[in-house]
Amino acid sequence: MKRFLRENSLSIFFLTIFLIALGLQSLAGWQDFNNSQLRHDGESIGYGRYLLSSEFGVAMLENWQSEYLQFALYTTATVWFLQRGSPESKELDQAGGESDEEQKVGRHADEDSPLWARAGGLRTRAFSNSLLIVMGAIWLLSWLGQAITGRVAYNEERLEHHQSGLDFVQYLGSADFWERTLQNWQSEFLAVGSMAILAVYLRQRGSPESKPVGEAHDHTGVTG
Amino acid sequence: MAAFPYRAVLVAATLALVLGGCGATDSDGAAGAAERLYAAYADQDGETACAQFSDDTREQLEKDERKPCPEAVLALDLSGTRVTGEQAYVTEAKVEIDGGDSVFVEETGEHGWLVTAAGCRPVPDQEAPYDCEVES
Repeated sequence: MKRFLRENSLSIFFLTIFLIALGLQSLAGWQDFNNSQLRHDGESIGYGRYLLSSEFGVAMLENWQSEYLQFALYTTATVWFLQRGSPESKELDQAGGESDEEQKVGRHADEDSPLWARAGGLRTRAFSNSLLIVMGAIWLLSWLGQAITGRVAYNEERLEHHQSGLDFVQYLGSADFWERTLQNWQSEFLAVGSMAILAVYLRQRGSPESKPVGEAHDHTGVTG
Repeated sequence: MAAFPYRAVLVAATLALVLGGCGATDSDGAAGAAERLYAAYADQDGETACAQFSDDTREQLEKDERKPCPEAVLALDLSGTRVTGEQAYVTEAKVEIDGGDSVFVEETGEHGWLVTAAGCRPVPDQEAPYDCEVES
């Protein structure tokens, strides 16, 4: 058990702080929603109802979609795009999908390679892109969820001001949908872009996200 | 970085489905409040009609018409009696009446659903509020 915890501590740690943060967000969001209701003599709602409301749904999913987009994009962009000196980049002559030998697929697979890496054909092609496929699918589902819940939350606000509600297609073209979307995208793009650059010149001893402390600034694709 | 991708797909899909269905609320009360207002207006029952308004709307009506609400409400131009449709989002709803009016209704604490605007008609600009006979 102790060994299991140690060997999986990275995912356990992040899953735990995710649940804590989500719980706290839901409590703060519930309080904020009810404060807003009080300001215009509306009804306060219970915690359970808030958890199932579109208000909570959109607040959560608009962030989820941007995070999964960020990782899906980063996973894909780093196949071709390079950054001299960055541990986030491949070596400068390695851009592209690389050879089957380098990627250990088909007849170049090791004995302990995953089955679909050895299988060839469609299965190997699918497995070769499975990280992007799954992260991209989660991104699209989260974004769809943001659109569905965002429309409800926005329409509540519009009806409160005696305006008509928007249908789904109208909402997809609304400033509210794109403002929610882009405010999250820009922060993710800034974070990964700055990480790629900062990791050229700065170090975190012991982290695989960093180069070794003594590694030269212009050495690319080295992780510590 | 993607520790539990398959699990996360399931969670995201489930949440999208669950939360997507959470827009509509129990809005029988919203349609009921609008219907009671229009029925009372048709019956010239000012007291019952006024009981459907939120406090702010009732006060605004009395201020605008300079009459007590039960009198002032009967001077409004409300059209229709039957509910033909409604949109409900969390604690707000818009109810359509067969005469072409829209009614805006809000869920309040102890008093249930109350009318915040009635006798409303859309204006050409979609971003502008409806033009209402009475509103808070």
